[in-house]
Amino acid sequence: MKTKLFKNVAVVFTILTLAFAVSCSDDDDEMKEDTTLYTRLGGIDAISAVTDQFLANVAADSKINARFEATVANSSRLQLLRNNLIDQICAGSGGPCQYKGKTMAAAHAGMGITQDEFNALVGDLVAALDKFSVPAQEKNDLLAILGPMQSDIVGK
Amino acid sequence: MKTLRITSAILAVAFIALILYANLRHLSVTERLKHVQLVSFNLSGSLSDKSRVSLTEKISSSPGVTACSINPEGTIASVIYYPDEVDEATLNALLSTQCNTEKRELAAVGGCPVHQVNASVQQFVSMLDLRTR
Ligand code: HEM
Repeated sequence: MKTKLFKNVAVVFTILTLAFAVSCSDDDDEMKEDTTLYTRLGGIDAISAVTDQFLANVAADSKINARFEATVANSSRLQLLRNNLIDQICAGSGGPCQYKGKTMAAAHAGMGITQDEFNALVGDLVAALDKFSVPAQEKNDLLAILGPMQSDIVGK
Repeated sequence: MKTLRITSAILAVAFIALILYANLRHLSVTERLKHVQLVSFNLSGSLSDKSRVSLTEKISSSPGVTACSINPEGTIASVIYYPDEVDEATLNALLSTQCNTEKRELAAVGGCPVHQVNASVQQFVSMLDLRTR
């Protein structure tokens, strides 16, 4: 009687151990698959740190800062631009955000932004990514998402 | 008198609806981030490349500062910070240890008026939202 009970317990224990092992290896697979650019960039905190550095670079950049004068002078307008930029990078890189701003064409319509200004802004973004030592792969992946927006921004 | 009463009732209902919307709307990850402010200074006096880099590092690592940038010409410094942790005067004092500073007076009007209107609406809604205080 005792041996039978012991056997049953041993069988249940083995099944539970196997179930745990299988579910653990499933988690590991999910971890491996979860390599969105968002995760590789370091999530929302890293993206907001890069965005702040990018905005500070733009505000100090005499080639383009006049464009953003009214924006940085008004804290709610700055906040909105910051949130939109963070959402745009977060959503574009596969993160849990939703970009709620205007389309790039609508946001930059009538501004007559030149190619030189666009290059200056991209330079400020690259400098921000470099400051946080974002690896070349992640930097290129992010620039590949933002680069195609150029046709909606320049000369409109 | 009746019209006045009806108008007041409509306005009161609209205001309550706005407060409810502001406090019950879904806040995104980004909207839950702490608010920042930006201040820019004109710099004068000769700032070598080396001291520009070390000054940028010094400001960047100060408590409450999220980002600092001094342009390569060493003429403009921009700092983004949490206003509840550090203030403009402290940042100015930190910068003026190495050069002369003067706060840049930026024109708050200009650019696209649609962006301005959007920002004002957002500001009003978050003013009513008790969660974002
Ligand atoms: C890949 C490049 C760029 C991206 C991803 C980008 C992104 C954005 C975003 C997300 C907004 C906010 C849209 C909204 O309010 O709904 C915006 C607004 C704006 N952008 Fe750009 N932009 C780019 C290039 C540029 C360039 C080159 C300039 C000028 C030199 C510029 C000037 C502006 C200005 C002045 C605003 C309005 C800011 C405000 O709200 O007051 N952008 N941009």
